[in-house]
Amino acid sequence: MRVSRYMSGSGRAVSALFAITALTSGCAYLEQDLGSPLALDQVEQTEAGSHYSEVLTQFGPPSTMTALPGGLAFQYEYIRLVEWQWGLILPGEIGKWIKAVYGTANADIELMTFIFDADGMLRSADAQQWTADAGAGFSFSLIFSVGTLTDIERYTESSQAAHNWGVALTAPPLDTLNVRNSLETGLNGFELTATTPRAGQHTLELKN
Amino acid sequence: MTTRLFHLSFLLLISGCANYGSVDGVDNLWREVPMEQFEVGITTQTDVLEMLGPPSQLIKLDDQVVFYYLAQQNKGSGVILIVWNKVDEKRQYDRAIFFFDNSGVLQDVAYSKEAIAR
Repeated sequence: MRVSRYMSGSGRAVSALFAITALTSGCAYLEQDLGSPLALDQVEQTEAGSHYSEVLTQFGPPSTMTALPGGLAFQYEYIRLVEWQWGLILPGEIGKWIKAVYGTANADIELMTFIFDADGMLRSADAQQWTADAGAGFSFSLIFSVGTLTDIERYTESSQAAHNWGVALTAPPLDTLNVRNSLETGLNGFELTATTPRAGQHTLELKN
Repeated sequence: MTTRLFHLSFLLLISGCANYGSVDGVDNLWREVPMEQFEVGITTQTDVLEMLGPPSQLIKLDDQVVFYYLAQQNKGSGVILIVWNKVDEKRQYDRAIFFFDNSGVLQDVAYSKEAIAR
C-alpha cells in the first residue's frame, strides 16, 4: 500500500521519466535559420525592364551576384535547416555504455534569381521554394553530446565565401588551376548552395 | 520522499542550457552612415573606402565595379534535458552594396533590410 502511494502522482512521473531515459538515450531537435525568409510573392510584381536599382531597393543587396556576358545576375537565398536525432540503447553489457544516435535533416530553401541585360534592365526573374533532403547519419559515442550528424555543412559554409578572399590563394592545386572558372569571384556565374561538385564548373576540381 | 527528491535533483543536475554567439565579416560601419549620405553621381570609391573600410568582396562587371560588404552574426541557444534536447541557431546577414562606374563614381547603393545591431 505504501509502495502504491509512493508511485502515484509526481513520483510516477519521475519514474516514467527515468524509464524513458533508460530505454532511449533521448532525442534532439536542431534548427538553423540562415538569413531571413524572402518575399517570394513580390518577384512576380517586378516588371521586366525594371532597372537593377529598383530590385536593390525592393530586396536589398543579393546573397550573391555575378557578371554575365552582356549583363549581370542577382541571387537571393534563404535556408532553414531542421535536424532530428534519436538516441538508441545497444544490446549487451558494453552496449549500455555507448550512446548511439541516428540523425536526419531537411533543408527548406527559398530562392530568387534576377537576370539583367547590359543596360541593367531586368530580362528575367523567378522565385522558388522547396524542401531538400539534407542527409542522414549514425554515430556512436561514450559521452553525451548534441551536435549535427548530417551533411548540413554544405549549406552553412557556402555563405562564408565572401569572408575567405585571401584563403583562395592557398587553395589545393586542382582548385587553383580551376580558379578561372570559380563561381565565387562574381565573374563566372553563381550556383545554388550545396550544389554537387560533380556538375558544371566544379567538375575539374574533383579529387576522386 | 527522500528518494523522490534525489531523483528530481539528479535530473536537474544532469540537465543544462547554453547560449552562444559570434560575428564574422567586416564591421558593419554602414549602419552608422545614413544611406542618403552616399550621393549617386558624386560619392567616389575613395569616399566609400574612407567611411567603411575595405569591402568583403570587390566584383568587376563589364563597365562597373561593385563593393560588397557583408557582416554575419550567429546566435544560438540550447536546452539539454537528456531525454529531450533542443538547439536553435539563427544566422543574420547585414549587407551593403555599392555600384561604381569605371571612373569610380557611385551609381547605386543599397543596404539590406536585415541588420545587425551595433
